[in-house]
Amino acid sequence: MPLYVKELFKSYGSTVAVRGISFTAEEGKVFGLLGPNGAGKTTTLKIISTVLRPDSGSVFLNAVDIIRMAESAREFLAYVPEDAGTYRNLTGYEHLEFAATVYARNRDEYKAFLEDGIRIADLGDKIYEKTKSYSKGMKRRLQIARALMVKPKLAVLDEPTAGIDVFHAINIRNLIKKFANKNSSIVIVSSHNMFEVEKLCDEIGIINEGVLLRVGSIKEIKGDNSDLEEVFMKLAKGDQMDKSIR
Amino acid sequence: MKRKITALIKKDLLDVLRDPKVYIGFLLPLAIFAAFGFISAVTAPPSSVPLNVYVSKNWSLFNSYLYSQGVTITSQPYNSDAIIKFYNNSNFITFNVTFNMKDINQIYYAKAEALNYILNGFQAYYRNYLLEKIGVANFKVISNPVNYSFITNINNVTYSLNPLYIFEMTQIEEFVAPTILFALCIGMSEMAATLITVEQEEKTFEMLLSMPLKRYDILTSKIISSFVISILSSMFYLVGLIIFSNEYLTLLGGVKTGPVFSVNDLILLIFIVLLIISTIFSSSLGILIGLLSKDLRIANVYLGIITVPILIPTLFFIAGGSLSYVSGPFKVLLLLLPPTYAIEITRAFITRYLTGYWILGIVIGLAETFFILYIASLIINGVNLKSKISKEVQNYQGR
Repeated sequence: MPLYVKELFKSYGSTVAVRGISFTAEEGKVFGLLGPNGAGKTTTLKIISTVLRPDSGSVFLNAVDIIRMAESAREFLAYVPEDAGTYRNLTGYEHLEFAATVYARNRDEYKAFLEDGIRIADLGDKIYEKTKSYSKGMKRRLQIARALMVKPKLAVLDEPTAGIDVFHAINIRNLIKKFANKNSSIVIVSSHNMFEVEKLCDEIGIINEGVLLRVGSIKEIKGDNSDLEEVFMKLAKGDQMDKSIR
Repeated sequence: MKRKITALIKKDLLDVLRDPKVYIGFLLPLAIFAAFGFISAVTAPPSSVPLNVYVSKNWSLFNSYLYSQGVTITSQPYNSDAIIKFYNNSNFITFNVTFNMKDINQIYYAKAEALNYILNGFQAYYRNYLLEKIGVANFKVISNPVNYSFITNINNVTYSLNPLYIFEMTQIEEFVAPTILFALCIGMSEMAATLITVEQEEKTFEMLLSMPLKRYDILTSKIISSFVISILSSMFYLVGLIIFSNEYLTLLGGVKTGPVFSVNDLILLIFIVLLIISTIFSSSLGILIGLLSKDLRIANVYLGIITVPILIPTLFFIAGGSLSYVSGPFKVLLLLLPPTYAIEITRAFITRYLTGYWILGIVIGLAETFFILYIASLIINGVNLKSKISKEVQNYQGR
């Protein structure tokens, strides 16, 4: 079942962060929200992850209204916030143990989650050390592992490879792609890195100033343009002109 | 070089001073000084107090001296402020003085001071009398003609001490106990606020909120964690206070009065309950602050604000105030602050007398703690407090 996002609106005081965003994300595919800083990507992802309530709009997955039935929706979603940290005095293993305890329905599932988590994090013996000794990249890998090991139907990853070196970034991108295909899960990622989005996503939505400018496959969106940067610049300029005419 | 330093200073000052919350920190000392000034005025001993004394034998010289000092001599030993018995051996006089008090407050302090002043004055008065009567030949008699021995009776608990020593004991205890309790309460608020603020800063809180965990479970876990830390800290405080009390208060003035309290003591038990309520109240405030703050800087500003209400009972008791001596809105304010009761009961370690405020302390402390946690639960559930309050007001007006 796809994820349906319909007409999301969210304001912070007088600032409108998201203006009527709608898109559909398919099972087994990675959907990317592409846009500059402050475009409304994180706000959209927070709403989809039930962390934030929108002013209006709806999000449906498996016929469940995620916004209205947030508590039951959380059973099958996992979210990694942008720049998410860790509990300094817990080891990486203890972080994974905590997540496995929260998500697992029985002992076997708990063990399987934990084994997967250790494999995905790929931290070696460092997994048994306190996370205060971890680099930014190691923390990020732990967070991704924590989210993917529980095999969520919907994984929401805000800037998944931010702060990670090239080698591990490639690994994580492959992992996310494989995870979506193998588990028929929906993965929503956000990024301002055009290269990453092109490598990772099956479908993308270009977002600017809270408005979703275009949605489609990479091929559809690129059209005759040489790369996504060019498309983005054209769309953003067009949006500005539309606004000034209005 | 100078230009670069100026630019650095300008950058720092603008960053700090453009945050309006910083000015709350500037205003805090003003609020504390104003509170301390008011409390000092409220707790100041009165300039004159009535002193009723029962004298066991009629001795016109002594009685007329007492009259000249404005003392009322009563015929009933009961209900008197002091019972004075005296024995004479030739020209030497020995006074046995029993000072009665029902509470430790400014009135009794003023009476104890007045009695000491009057009795010391009598020493000089009697010395002059002897000089006139027998001349300077017997220097030994004239230099020290009067001996005093004191017993202080506080609600049938007697100490072989001058009442002024008792006040000295309580003053030291009332400095140590509230000051450390103040630090404990602020520490608990800070720790609870940090438990949540660090999660906000590290964005682990967003991760928790997206997990299959009920909002109430998250809040409950924070509350229980803070309370466990509060109870642990309270136990360390308690052990420290017992060591202090039994080491210091029992040996003051070289007079051993026995242990101040023992483990099977009702006063100690109530004190532990009030101490725990004070610390969990402080933790609840910390949790609320944590939920209202986006980072530690803002949390610290809010923590600064809550130091004032916790500081009020601390200053009040350090200044020697008594709940039975204050009235009006200030008393209401004191009674609304849970740390008041934990501090107030420490006096009972010496007086061995429970004033009854502790019952109110348990009720008010728990009620306020639950109210704060209710507000925290609304915030964690994403309820907009402003709109909820206006809705409640509309409902109320509609009724």
